Amino acid sequence: MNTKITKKRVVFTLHDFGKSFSVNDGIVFAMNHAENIATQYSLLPNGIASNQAAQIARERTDLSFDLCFTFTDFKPIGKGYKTLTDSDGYFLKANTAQWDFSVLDNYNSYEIEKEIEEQYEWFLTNVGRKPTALTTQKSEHGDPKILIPITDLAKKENIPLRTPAWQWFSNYAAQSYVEDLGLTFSNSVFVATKDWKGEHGYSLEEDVDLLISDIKNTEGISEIVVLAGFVDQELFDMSSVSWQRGEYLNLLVRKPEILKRYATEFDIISYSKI
Amino acid sequence: MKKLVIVADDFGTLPSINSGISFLYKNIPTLEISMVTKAKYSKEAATMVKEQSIQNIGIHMELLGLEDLGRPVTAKDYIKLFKEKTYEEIEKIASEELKAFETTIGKPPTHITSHKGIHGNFKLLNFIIAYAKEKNIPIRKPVTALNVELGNQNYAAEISLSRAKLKSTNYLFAHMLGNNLDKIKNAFITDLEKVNEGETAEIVIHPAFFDERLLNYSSLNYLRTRDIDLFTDQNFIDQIKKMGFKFCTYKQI
Repeated sequence: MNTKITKKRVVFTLHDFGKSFSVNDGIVFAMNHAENIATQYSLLPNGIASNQAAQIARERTDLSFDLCFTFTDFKPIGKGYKTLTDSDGYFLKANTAQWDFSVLDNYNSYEIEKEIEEQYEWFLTNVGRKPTALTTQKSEHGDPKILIPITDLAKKENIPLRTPAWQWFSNYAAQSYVEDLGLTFSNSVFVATKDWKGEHGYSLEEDVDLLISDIKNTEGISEIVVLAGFVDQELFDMSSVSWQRGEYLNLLVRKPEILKRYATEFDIISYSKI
Repeated sequence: MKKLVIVADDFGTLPSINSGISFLYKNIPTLEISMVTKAKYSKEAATMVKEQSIQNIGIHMELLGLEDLGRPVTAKDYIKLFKEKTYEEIEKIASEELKAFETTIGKPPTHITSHKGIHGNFKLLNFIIAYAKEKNIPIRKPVTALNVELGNQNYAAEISLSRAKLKSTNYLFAHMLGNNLDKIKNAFITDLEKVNEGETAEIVIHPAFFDERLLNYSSLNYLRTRDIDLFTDQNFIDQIKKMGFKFCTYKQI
């Protein structure tokens, strides 16, 4: 009798690569650390340090980098948009404290498609290969306006997709839409950073049992998304998630046994392997 | 009125600690900054004191520093030190530290605190009480016990300080660990609810930005940036003020 037990497959992602130089430093520290269990790196195309991140991604052909589309942070890659940006050329800001993304209502669909093409081209040019998955920085592809052009691209290029959760939770219509299209995608996503001033997200350390249990209670492939990085004044001023990014790095150095629990409980894979 | 002193420890230890404390000082002008004199970056810290005209600068006494051992100092190192050294030997080391502070900063400290609360040991406490009395300097409430397995109480040190009639606070609060900001805020609010009208409290924090050097140096690393987040949150500061607290320097208590 075959008694082999198959472990649940989990993609373990470090998020926001390219957001700032201190975030890059932290993620590179993790990449090079012997205890690192991350298998996936989300690369922003338009962050302060995206070019540096792309250069690193280009060199690290052994690692799996996804293209993390950005629609409400920094400046777009494309130019001349009439509906996506403010008068200074920055993307219109969503209110993440209230999770109010109504700015997307004003976005013109053609301009969204154009910007998706621009960000995809940016990745191909700067990283020198296709992304292993398509994701969005704040899960904006939970909105059909963003989701549909991204799924079109995913289908055309045969690239997996992160589940289009909303506020990082469930989002039935969007998720079933992706399933119906027959795309390869993760089924659930868990943010393992005590973000947004502690209101959402799991702590990798303090909530280890809860997180493992919650993941095990879901079907299919799950993704753990971790915001990792060092924190300088630039990042502190820029992001509501700053010091929280230190937890994963601290675990690498001080408590690797906690990370080993995740690696033991799950089959940790990258998007390139699903 | 209730008075609250916020004290930032470890100034001088690392560049990320220096820049984090300096950043927070701009947000809390009453912030008392506690500086180490034996560390590699104490000089950088002293330069920042001059350049930013920081007035509330006290000493964070170490007796043993990173440079002495080539590694961060632990509570066990201090237990050994106090066991092996006489009163006179500890006094000599402490005296040199205070002298170094006065030379670098150009004036006596505005307060005295210590690394891991080591001034809870009479070998150090008796000496700094004498020094503080002469110069009228407040001392942090010496609540810490190095042998924590016996319970974190230090009545003998506290009563000695009290009888010396030196300035100190009625309460000392700290929450160094924990990454749920709301829980930490609530814990501080619960602490501060204990303070009665006319009493004083100190909150100890460890502000720093977070870099690789800090990560490798201390188990208390990224949570130091949490302390910056906490005390740049105007809602939290206003909540404390609404409880009847006035933010003060040590001199103002």
